[in-house]
Amino acid sequence: MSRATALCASLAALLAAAALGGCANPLADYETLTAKTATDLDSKTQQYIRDTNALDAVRENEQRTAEQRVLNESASVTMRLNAMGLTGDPRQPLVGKLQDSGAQYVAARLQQPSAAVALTSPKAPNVADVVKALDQLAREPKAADQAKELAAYFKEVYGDLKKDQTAKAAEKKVSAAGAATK
Amino acid sequence: MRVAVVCVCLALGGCAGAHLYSAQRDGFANTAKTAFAAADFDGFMKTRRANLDALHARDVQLAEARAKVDRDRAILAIFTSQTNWAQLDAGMNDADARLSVDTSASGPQDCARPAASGKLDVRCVLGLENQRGQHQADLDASADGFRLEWRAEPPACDGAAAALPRWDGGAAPEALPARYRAIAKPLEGPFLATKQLTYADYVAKCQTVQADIARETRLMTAGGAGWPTDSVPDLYNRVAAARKTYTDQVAEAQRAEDALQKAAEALKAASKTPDSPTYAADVAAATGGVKSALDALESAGQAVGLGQSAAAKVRLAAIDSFLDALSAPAAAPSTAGKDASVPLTPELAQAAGVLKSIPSLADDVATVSNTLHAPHLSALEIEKARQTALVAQANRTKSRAQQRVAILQAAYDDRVAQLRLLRDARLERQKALAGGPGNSQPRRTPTGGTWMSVEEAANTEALNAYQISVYVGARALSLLRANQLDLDEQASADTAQFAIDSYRSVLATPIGQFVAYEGAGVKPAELAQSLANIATAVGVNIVAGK
Repeated sequence: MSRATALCASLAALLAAAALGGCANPLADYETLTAKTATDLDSKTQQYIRDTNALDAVRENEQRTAEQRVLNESASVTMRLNAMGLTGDPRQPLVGKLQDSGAQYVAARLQQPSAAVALTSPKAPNVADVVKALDQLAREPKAADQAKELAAYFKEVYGDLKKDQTAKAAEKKVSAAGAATK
Repeated sequence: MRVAVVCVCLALGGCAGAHLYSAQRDGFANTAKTAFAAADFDGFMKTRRANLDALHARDVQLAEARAKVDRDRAILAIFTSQTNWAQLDAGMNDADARLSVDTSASGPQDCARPAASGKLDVRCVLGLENQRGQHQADLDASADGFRLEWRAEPPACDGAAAALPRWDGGAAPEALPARYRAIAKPLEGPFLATKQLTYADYVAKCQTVQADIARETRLMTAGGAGWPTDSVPDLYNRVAAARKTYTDQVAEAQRAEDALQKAAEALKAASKTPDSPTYAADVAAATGGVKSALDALESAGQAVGLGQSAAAKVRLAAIDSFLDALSAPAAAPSTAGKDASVPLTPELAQAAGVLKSIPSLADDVATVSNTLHAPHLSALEIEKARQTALVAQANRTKSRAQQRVAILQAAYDDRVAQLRLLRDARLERQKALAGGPGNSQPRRTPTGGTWMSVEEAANTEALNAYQISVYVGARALSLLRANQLDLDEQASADTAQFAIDSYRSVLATPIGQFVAYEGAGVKPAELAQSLANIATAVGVNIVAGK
């Protein structure tokens, strides 16, 4: 057998083995596992958004209620202070000074709050596309089918090569026989 | 060329490593990689944190508004149709009851226990607080001097400070804790003397502060567990409990880390004697010791994340040792589905003992004669990413534990500020009550600004101090609630962050491998072309790709 014929035979055997599963993808198990992990991540991220949105909504609602309560109490206080002003109550300037004094004390000694801003709707990281691609990768038949086709192809070529060599050998024999008869 | 590679692989290892290329599978793998890289996990968590910050800022603004309303109401309670200064006494008495203090206390002081009223003498609370504050400032300055001189952190000044050895006179540094002994021992003359001076100064000042704390604690705990919530002694005890939990946890983690250090040294020593008849048994026993010590370290100081962080750092170092060894020329190749081995060294044996404590890697680590059977490269990389996520989470846990103490401490400090204001208000009010016809020279007060009687001026100053105390107290309490809620929410977000990081660590490596694997497949056209070339060479006419 020539080197080329031997090579083809090897390839045919290799591809046939691949077709039968002998050349299993070493990462095949990981593909399924990774697709499952990505699915988990996707579902947990979505769940986290739902949970935190619900919690934030409750907290915002409580804040609104508390703010309304403070606003009402503050309005009542302001009304009384305005009344003092309207009636020309001589104590009204003192009240203003006391308020300023308290604010100055707090401003000088205590940490000041930062401004609150509106909440931003959380945008989930797009894991769905990762899941889809990994799922397709895990489901997609391995190269086995292609290997089957190629194995048949190489078998055919191997047959041709063998036939060709047989023909050449026969021709050689015929030539040798012809020469002997001369 | 590719055909030759296929054949070599076939000859060497059956089918391992050789596979046909599939454009479709390659496309899926690349799509997964691109989509994974584009998934904005960081932006997602950033939004979560920003939303929590916004909610917290709103709570803080609410606390501020609430405190202002309380303050205004306290002022208006005095200024009804008539000015009712007696209402000031009622307000201060209410505040005393809520805070469990007696701000009007006079006469002899007993700072070892609450007064007969069951409340704390404000003079004791403020006196002890002032004293401790001064001594703490002295200690902080001494600690700075220590750091400068020793180029090391001073010993922790906590409940164990009484046990710190004093280093007096010209004594040798034998009694010092190990880390300071190592620094001081080679020194002599003035270099040693300066070290001794700074050490002795720090220890003395630390012990003074601890004595202050002991006195304060004795007073604050004298009422047992019956103090009203958010009163001065209640807050003091909560701060002390939180601080003790923190320092206990730190100490527990430190002990576990020391134990691991010893176990690791024992394993290294055992690995250095491969000719010993008991070598295998010794290494196995020492490996078991490292595993136990690491497990103990991981669960030590959990509330402050220190054990977890230290354990993860040790594991990361071990993984890095293996990754370095596997990339060295002496290592057997590690390819997909193929095991790897590296020459065994004492350092790697030590690292192997650490890897044995990681469930996902433990089974793949084995000593075979003079080589070490290593886990697969990708498994090491996944575990490295996971341990890195663990360190980050442990650091966040530590930071939250420190914040927990700081939030309570800030509330207590505000309570003390409130006490000082209340005490000032009481003193002014006492002046007003003591005022009489013979003491009625008009004066201007800093707050009132206009001329008024002594009595009225003192009452005005009393009201001013009182209304600020209402403001400070109400604000402190609302802020305490808001800050604790925010801390819990942020800690919950930390857990989510860790979960996402863990998922990312176990997904990134395999996705990268899928891309590499699919891209490395042998393309059918290449095979067919190679075959056609061979056939042409031997005189057979084959159309490539047929």
